[in-house]
Amino acid sequence: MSRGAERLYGAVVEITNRCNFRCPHCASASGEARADEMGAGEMAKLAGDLAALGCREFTMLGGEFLLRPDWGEIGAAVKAAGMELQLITNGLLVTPEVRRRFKALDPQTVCVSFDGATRRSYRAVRGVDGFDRCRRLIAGLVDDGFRQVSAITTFSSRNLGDFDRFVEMFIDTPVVWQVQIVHRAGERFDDSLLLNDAQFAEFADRATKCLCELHGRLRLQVMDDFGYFPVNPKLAFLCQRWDGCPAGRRVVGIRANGDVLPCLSLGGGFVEDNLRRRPIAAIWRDPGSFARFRHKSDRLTGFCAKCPAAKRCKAGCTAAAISNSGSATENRFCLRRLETTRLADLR
Amino acid sequence: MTVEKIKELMRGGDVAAARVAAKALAGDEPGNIEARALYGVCSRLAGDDGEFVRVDDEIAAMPGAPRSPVWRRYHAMRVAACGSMLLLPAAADMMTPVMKYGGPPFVDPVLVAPKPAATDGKYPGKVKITWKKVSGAAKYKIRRATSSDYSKSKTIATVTKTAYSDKHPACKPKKRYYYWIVPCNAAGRPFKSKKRFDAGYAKQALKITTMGAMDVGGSLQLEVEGGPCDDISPEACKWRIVSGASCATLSKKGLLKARRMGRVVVSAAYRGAKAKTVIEIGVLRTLYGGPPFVPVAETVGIDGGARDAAE
Repeated sequence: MSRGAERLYGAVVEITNRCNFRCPHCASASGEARADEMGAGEMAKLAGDLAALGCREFTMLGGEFLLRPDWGEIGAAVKAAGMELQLITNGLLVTPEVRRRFKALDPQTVCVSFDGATRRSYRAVRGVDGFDRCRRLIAGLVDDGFRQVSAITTFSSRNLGDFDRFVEMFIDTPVVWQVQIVHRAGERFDDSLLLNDAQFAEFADRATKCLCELHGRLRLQVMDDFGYFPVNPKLAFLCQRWDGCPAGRRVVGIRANGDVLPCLSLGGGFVEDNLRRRPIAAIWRDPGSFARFRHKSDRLTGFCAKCPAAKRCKAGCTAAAISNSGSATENRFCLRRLETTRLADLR
Repeated sequence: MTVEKIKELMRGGDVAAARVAAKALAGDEPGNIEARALYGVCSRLAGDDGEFVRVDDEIAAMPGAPRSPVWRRYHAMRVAACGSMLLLPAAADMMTPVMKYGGPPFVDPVLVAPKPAATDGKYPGKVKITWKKVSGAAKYKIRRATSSDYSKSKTIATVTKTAYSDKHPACKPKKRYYYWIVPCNAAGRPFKSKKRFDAGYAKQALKITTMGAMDVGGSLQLEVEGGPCDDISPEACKWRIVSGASCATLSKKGLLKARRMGRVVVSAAYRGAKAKTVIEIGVLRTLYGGPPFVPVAETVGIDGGARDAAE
């Protein structure tokens, strides 16, 4: 490997930008298909190239990937290349036949985006009435015996109040509840969705409480945009394997038109190259690629620059940092920062 | 440098500078608990757990420590094995997550379990177990076994106090039991702790089981029971009328004969264990206030014969 490039662990691949939803928080602003989306042959070649680079996980998403008729072929190519397959769907197009086809692919995880814990809040976030259907689907997927069924909730100012209802919904079930925070990305993004500091603190307190008190009962999976070296020893696991944002270092995002990004959550301003110009191996091994992400620790600013955990943390998730502070080099939504501030504010 | 300035440095993330400033201020003002506490906290934030613990011990010995909110929270961190409970509502709740994701589980702190003191034959029918409070524990599980082998012990109770009485009939008199105390968090989850036990036994328990009422002119054989001594015969006890001797007579074998209405207090003793009971002597139907007693067989026969006869 060239200097700066690590072994590629996972690829998040948008196989189409077509979507039946128009969610305001979508980082890809999905809706219409991109003008020049790659064909099934190109996707199969991509799968082979990624596997040759050592990639282990291929996350297939959209848009809504089920709107692409050849999604099954692409999934089969991924499995044939020896990678684990993860599927992320909004769930509305999943029929019993689709579930059978999912099963045949033996995915590592089937994830359903699930952003509202009531019909009303689901509609407020997603714009359609999909609550009951998604809920039934998640239960059906569990019954089907998939290796892991995840419900993904992106918390914004609109659905933060649903946190406890979600907990009630998923407690004592085998469903993995994956939570993440909304990031400013995508052309449709509405800034009123962003969490403010108090809302982040509320989210952090609730998630922390669940992690500490409901383990074994609630399979809560917090994503890379939560954590960062908290002083609380019970949350030490949040950073035990963290050595900076994996975007562009161990993970890559690929759009349906071949655009290569460090992470799909970052949005269009971070396109590094295109697969039609250079194959993924050449892009990945190029020492100049993803330079802003691979050498981030030298340029930290603000609170993060002075933090004792700075060298390992590197300001956490880059997409989150850019969203909440406007800079990749400082992350306002950080547990350690919250703890330190609360200590300083004690009277 | 003032405490406020140190806090300002912390808010800006400059923990290293805050630590240096807090140390200097604590040196200049030895009685300034908050400065000292901030120094300890900053040490922890900087990863120096040894200093964090040392400073906490130092502050704990100072007279005004309990009044400092910073130190109280700081001490809660210490209790939670050098961690911060800032994000949790109850500092005493120290449940540890076992992670399915993101890494190995955090290892629980090993607390020093208290050595229990169990009474040796001090109380009839019970063993009283006491122990010292363990810092950080919200509850205690009491485990009991008939040998000193901990693996054979079973939890008999979970309590929040530092004393427990193991009573008859679960605790049989004169039988030696071994007790362990396991400190737990508020949710009842045990901490890892060293195992220390004490053995104890209960004195003989004795109880007079005979119904406390009889008719004038009647006689009543008094009975006793006492844990493993259920087979104590009344003849083996020493019987005595404590009061009301004019109403009844009592034989050595525990046979009470009622002579007139009144109240008799009777005691029994067996190998150091004593019991007392009150027996009312009167006319039973008057005493209970109900309708006159009629034998059951005359009301409803097993085969309905009584009703048939009435018809």
